[in-house]
Amino acid sequence: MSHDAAPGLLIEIDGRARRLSDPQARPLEVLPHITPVPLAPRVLVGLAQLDGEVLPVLSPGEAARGPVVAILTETNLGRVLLLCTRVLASDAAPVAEPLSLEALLESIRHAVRA
Amino acid sequence: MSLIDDHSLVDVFLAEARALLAGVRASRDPSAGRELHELASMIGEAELVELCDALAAALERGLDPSPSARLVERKLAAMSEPAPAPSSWDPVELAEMRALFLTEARGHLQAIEEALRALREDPSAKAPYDALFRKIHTLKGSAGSIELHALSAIAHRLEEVLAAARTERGPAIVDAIAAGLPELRRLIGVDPAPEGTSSPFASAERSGAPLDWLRVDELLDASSELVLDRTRIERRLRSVEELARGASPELREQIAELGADVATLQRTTRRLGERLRRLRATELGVLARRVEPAVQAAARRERKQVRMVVRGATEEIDQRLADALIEPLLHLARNAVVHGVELPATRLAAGKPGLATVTIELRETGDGLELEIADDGAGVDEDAVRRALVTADRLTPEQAAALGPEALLATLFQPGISTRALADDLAGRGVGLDVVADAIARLGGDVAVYSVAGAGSRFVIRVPVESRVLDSILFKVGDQLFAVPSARVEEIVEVDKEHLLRDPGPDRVRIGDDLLPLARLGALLALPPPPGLGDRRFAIVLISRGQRYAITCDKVIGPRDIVVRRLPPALHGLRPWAGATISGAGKVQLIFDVDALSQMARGKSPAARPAQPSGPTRVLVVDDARSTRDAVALVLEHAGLATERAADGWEALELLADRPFDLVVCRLELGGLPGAALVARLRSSPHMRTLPILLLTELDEATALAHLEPYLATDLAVISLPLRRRPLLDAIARALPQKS
Repeated sequence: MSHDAAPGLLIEIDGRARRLSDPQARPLEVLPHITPVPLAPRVLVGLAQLDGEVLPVLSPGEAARGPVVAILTETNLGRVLLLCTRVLASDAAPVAEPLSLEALLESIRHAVRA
Repeated sequence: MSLIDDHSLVDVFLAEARALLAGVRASRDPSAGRELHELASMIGEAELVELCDALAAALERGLDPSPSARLVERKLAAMSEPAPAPSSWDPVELAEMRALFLTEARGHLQAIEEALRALREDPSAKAPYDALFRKIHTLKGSAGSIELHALSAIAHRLEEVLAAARTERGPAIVDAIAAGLPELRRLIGVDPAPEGTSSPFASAERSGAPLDWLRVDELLDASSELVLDRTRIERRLRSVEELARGASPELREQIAELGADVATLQRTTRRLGERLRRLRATELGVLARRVEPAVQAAARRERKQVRMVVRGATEEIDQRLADALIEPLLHLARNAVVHGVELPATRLAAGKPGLATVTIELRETGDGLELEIADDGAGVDEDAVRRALVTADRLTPEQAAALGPEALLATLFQPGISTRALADDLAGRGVGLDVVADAIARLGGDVAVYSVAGAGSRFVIRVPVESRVLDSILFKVGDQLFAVPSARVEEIVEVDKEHLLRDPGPDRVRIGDDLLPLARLGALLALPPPPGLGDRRFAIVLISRGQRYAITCDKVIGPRDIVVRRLPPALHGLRPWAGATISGAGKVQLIFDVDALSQMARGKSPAARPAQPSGPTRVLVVDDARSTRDAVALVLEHAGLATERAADGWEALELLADRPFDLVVCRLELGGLPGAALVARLRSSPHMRTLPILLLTELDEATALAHLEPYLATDLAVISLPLRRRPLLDAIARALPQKS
């Protein structure tokens, strides 16, 4: 199934093109300071402050290890920052797998409950 | 003489008055009219006296008595209607209670309507049914307790309809509930009452507009921002003071004055924040007054004698938090009476006073609030809970029997579990404690139950408090800053390795004459100490649920005012964190949940296991010969590994307890604690049973391995001295295949 027609931001994570469904998702010009959260699930890189709000910073892969871009996006659990390698041109990848931040957040909640 | 207060005599009078009136109508005899007037005067009911006087006058004047007789007849009829049951409430108090109930009831109604909308879309969905059941159940109980009997009755009928839905859901049930809504809306005062009737909330509606919470919040947020701004200014001032050390006296004087101004600003911002918080605060006593009617109503229904005691009545609580807590509190208070407290005779037989006590207590914990509802009743009937679990098909009898007390009590918060045999408007449908758990979870808190057979039960609700300024102690572990609420800190002491005890058993620290449970944060959070820190540590002694324990940190920064922010929703419940704050530099700092940390220190939480180390592979080199120790460390560091060095086995144990390592390289022939003994201790520790160990020995490998025979099955390797670089690196590569 092709996902290239879907709206949203195209980004690269771990060398793969992924598409965010939030049409308002945007990269931040400056990466904010990220505070690690010890004992948190691995997908949660840490917390960052943006406009006075404490946001979770997520990384589904190894993106946090190299130079990264933080994407600000909205989910059903509020705003989050997502780390990726870079933002791709919208036509850079004809087929891009959608990335569900809700699923990432749910995995965190599941781990917290466990 | 007035008989109006004696209902039995009034009834006699009314019968006689009706007979006299009939005679007046028939005979139009003025003497009968005077007799009726005298009777009315004896009763002392002013309006009746007046009407009878008019009737007698009409008869005396020979006028048609019919109009006056009709009025007397109506009045007599009104007086003949059965009197309502006497209220247990002072009328003013009752009006106040109903006013408070109004907001709560409208919230329930809204939730009921939302659930019905969801069921219109999917009549088989389970969650909206559960929500409906909980809301209607709460509405019924609350309305009953403040004598809104019609509302309680219709809620009871709707609950009966819903009870059927537990086995059979569908549009018919949804329609039946929806049919009851107009009446519910009218009784709650959302829809106008029909002409000639009045809403029980009519007076409550006129009691004045509530505070505009949004505006208060905006002010509070602005006040919090002010604290952040002030923190930033303080930070910059400290930098300026550093830079101006060699500056002219005039400049330094100006900076000192600026410092004094900042201190004044600090006092002002504190005062402002405090006053704003008070603006949206209410006292526990006020909250308790909303609960007491439910307690007394339940006690009357159950024929029990209960008094309610409020501890910390003047403790303040955020008004909206109080609103959110009222529903759980009502449930718990009713539960205490219905399920907890025994009948007076039973209590007396058990040597207890017949009058039971339900206590509500509010405590500030520094990072939140703790609300306790306790009773001195029989405690939770564990056998009844087991039976209820089996009846509800949650567990088999064997599984229920195998449940320990703690796990068993936790099941009380599951939907559909009730130990009461019959359902009525107080309890018994298995609705109640799950409502409590849900409501508290929505506030980011938790609820726990403690019970002692024969002595009573305690329900403890813990809720975090957000966006408020907290007096805290800041400290560092590794390079990261953390905070704990000052109110939970008993003392901070400097400790060295003689104070820290590990073996045998869990970590402890000696503070004065006491041995306290200890959480070594460096190891627990996998945050290595900054280079060159040495053995010196700080132990922060904290209080959790009345018990002391300690945490170690690398550096104490000191007391600070911080603005508490809740963690993002996905992280609610992540232990051991109570929230976060934002530093003057805009960085997020984490605030510990002191109670969750206490569980970890006592080894009662799965998260008590040290976190997995991150970053470069860390090797602990243990050798009492400094030259060998340094040489090994040097070789490893050149190979890209991070090392720390210990001069003997005891120091090695200390370091291993304090921070995570990937490998231990240890001399077998150590003085003090020999290498084999160190291996034995590590292998007996649950945390270090699998830690790879490489032993350096002057023996040949076969002989050394014979010494270590009991541990050969574990991750253990031996190489013989003299030290050679390549065999050492190869041995380490084998010990750490995935990391080297």
